[in-house]
Amino acid sequence: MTITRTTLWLLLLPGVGYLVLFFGLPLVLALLTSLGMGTIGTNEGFTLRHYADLFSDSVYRDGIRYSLYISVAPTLASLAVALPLAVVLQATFPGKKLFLTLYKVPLVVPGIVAAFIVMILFDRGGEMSRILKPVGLSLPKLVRDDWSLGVIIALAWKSIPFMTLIIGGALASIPADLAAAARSLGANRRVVFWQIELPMALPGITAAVLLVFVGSTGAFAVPSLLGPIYPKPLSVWMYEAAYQQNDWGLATAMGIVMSAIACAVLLIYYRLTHGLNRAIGGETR
Amino acid sequence: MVANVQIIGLRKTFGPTVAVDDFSLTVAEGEFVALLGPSGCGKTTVMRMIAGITDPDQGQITLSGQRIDALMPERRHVGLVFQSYALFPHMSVARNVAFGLKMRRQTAGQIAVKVAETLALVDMSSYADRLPRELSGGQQQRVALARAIAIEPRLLLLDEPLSNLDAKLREQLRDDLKALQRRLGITTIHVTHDQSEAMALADRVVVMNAGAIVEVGTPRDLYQTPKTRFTAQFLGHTNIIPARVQFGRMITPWGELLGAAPLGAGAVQLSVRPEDLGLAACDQGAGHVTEVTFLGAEVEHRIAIAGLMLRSRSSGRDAPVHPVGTKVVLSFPADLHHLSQEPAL
Ligand SMILES: Nc1ncnc2c1ncn2[C@@H]1O[C@H](COP(=O)(O)OP(=O)(O)O)[C@@H](O)[C@H]1O
Ligand SMILES: [Mg+2]
Repeated sequence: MTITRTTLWLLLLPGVGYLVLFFGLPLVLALLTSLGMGTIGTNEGFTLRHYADLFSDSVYRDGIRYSLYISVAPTLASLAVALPLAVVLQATFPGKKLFLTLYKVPLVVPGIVAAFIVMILFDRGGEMSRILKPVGLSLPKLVRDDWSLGVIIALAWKSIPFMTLIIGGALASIPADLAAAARSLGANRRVVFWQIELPMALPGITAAVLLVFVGSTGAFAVPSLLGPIYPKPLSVWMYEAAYQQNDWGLATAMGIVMSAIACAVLLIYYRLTHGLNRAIGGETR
Repeated sequence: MVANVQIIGLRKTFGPTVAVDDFSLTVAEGEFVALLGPSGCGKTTVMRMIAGITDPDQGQITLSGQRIDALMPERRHVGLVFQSYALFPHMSVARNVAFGLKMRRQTAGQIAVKVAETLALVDMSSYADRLPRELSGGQQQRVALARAIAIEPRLLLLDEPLSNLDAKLREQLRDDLKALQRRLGITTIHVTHDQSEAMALADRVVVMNAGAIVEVGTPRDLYQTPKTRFTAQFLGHTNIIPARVQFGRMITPWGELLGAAPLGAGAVQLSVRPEDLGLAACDQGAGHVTEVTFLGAEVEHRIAIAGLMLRSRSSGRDAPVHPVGTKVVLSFPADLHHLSQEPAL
């Protein structure tokens, strides 16, 4: 049987159609709206006004920078915890079963609840400072602080188990014989990790990093509750533009910029890990 | 820097499973020893303990007088080839082979020379830049071997290196392996469950069963004069015939074996290889043919006699063929062999 062009399209329709309908179409609509040709809000004809507004206003420029900050920092913080954790969880130790259950709890806790937990624990006069006071210790400011540490903690807290799960899966799928072979060739545990296990788990690590990064980019509840008064992330400005100023053109322009930035970061990250793979695993061929 | 090996009283359990028990073995410098036994008898566990990947519960391992059983695997200088080959999938063939040399902090120049030399040795020079997944099973096996010998190990451990290959290739690589080992003179322990592979390769064969050594000997001795039923049956086929020695005569279930030199005393078990069991048509014969199979190079007869089922094989173009039902007499070799370590039945 030869597959004709038409049958090929018919075969592809369910998958491609889904993508077009639920991903492509909204994106195109958002893009049109941001260019003044939208179906929501006022239709004013093609204009780059919204983008000009966005980039000329320092409030929004700070917003972009801040959005980037609160997606990159929690991602790095999660990675810093999840990678060692995933490695440790490859070994067997007493109480492992219980730990495996407990560490996944944040997975089922919504972001807004996580934000409240951090607030209750770490805000001035929160549980932690009450506990630490008698010992003579005081916590640095963690809620609405300049460095958004509270935001980073809450977002990382939520994504650490997710990352650990993915990276742990990637590590577990590496055949044990590879490490044994490397050891017998003279490599110690550290070398085995850096030269064998890490490069082989890199696709899993990359996937985990990207998913967490994209997830944090659009975070709304956590920065609203725990972030400083200023700057605010683009997600919060978007909300205000759309629902308080009814300026859908500006809101969708922010959305498009945010997506573009996320894509750019993903591309840069791919290039970096590709380079990393070459550096630690040697040339890929 | 080739080493001799001395293993004393090695033991390893996994929960209730005794994987290896009281395993003691001495291997001379440059010797090629095969560990032969059925799947699950503990061969891999022995290898892993020698390489340091599995910790023994008990026992000592000594290489040329140096105790190594407490050393980390990376300090043992033992080459290991896995059944799965365990090539690093993200590294080229050349980088796989170079890995052990880099760990030894050799210069880039030294490494390049050694890698080229070793790949030439296993006939893989033109594949240096390929990734393992771009190689056939036989080629991967060669690379795994090259990677292990590149570090000039004191001892080479081969865990069923040929068992994932098809029969033709297996035979060819077997011959290559033997030639290479002779040439390099590396002390080698080779694990296999294939008796013909063990006999073709090894100076000495260690027969294992259920975690313990059953018998050790040259391939010839083990084949011709096995001491146990297990060895006799694991190395090819054999006929086991219960017999009694009475007043200097050998009595089998169907009567006296005339002209047989008496062996042992009381009840014994004779082991006669099918190719040593002669056969002649005779109307007064106590046995009769129940099956005839043409095997190409040989003809196999099955003979029922006194409740036993025996096999006889004869080779050559003119090998006589007796139809099913023919009454036959059996003839035995002059030097009858009995299983001296087998308890009497
Ligand atoms: N890591 C392990 N955990 C539990 N049992 C094991 C382990 N490794 C081997 N065994 C058991 O030990 C016995 C010997 O295994 P192995 O040395 O792999 O045998 P072989 O290589 O001769 O096939 C088997 O019964 C096997 O199930
Ligand atoms: Mg095995």
